[in-house]
Amino acid sequence: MAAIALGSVLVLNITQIILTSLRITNNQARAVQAEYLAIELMEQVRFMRDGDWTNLSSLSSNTPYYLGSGGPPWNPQMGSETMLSIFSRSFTLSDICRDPITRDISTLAGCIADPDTKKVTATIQWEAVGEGTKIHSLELYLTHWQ
Amino acid sequence: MQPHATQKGYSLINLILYTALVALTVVFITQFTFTVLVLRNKTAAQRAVWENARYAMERMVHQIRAANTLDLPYSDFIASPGTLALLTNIYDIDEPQVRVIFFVDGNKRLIFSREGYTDEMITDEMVEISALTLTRYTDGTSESIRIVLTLDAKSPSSRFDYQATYTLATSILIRKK
Repeated sequence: MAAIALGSVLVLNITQIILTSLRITNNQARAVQAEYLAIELMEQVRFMRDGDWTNLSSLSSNTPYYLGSGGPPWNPQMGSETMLSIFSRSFTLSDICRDPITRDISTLAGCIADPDTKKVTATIQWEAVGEGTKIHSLELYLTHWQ
Repeated sequence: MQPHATQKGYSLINLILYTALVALTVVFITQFTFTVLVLRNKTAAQRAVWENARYAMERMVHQIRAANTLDLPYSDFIASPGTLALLTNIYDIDEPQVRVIFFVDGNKRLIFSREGYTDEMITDEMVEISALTLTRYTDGTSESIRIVLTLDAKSPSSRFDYQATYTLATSILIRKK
């Protein structure tokens, strides 16, 4: 009886270790895909900025947008898009405030709005096996430099 | 008359039960071992495709970001697998720019070719590239390359546990210098 119990515990542990390893590998692979999808979105937003600053400044702040498939000119739509059948992808733009003396980006009272800088946040969301909803974000500051 | 001595040892029923128990244990251990091997192979196949894909993508992204420009006559954005050719000063800023090319060879491996050097195998023997789609986007001001890379694990048979496929997609701007 003791041998059976010991054997069962051993079998369960080995199975658990292997399944955990499989799950970790799978989730690591998903995280890498999410990273590259976020990079892609940032590069596309930068591409839009290079074309014309109003491509970004005309969008509403703190609202999720997606660009859709295909190339430029992109026409940002509100909401998110599905990528690789697994990931939900969107970006938001935030207004920036600067310290009146140092010109550093600031969130303190008395800072002055800078209409020539936007903070871009790309967000990738997916369901990870056994780990629930995962979110990967990238942030970038873009300026009206031209 | 001599009384029956108390019989010791195993009866036939004991023997049958014992044999059945041993048989069940053997079957269970065999199945368990098989399952462990299947899961181990599956993990190895998945790991091989995503590690190779990640490395291949890193190499291409790095070269695109550092490139001076695309080398259009040597690139192929129509076929899959495509060919990506770049002109770069990444190795020596003071020297004339050199051509670097990413292409998929006859064995479905990603190869990095740099002018004057031996070709370098980017993906290993465990995987093969099933798709490399390259798309060039330009609006006259900016230029970017979209890469969609799909790798399959090289499978010695059609068994489920040896199969794995993985896709990475991204876009990178050409930072013209």
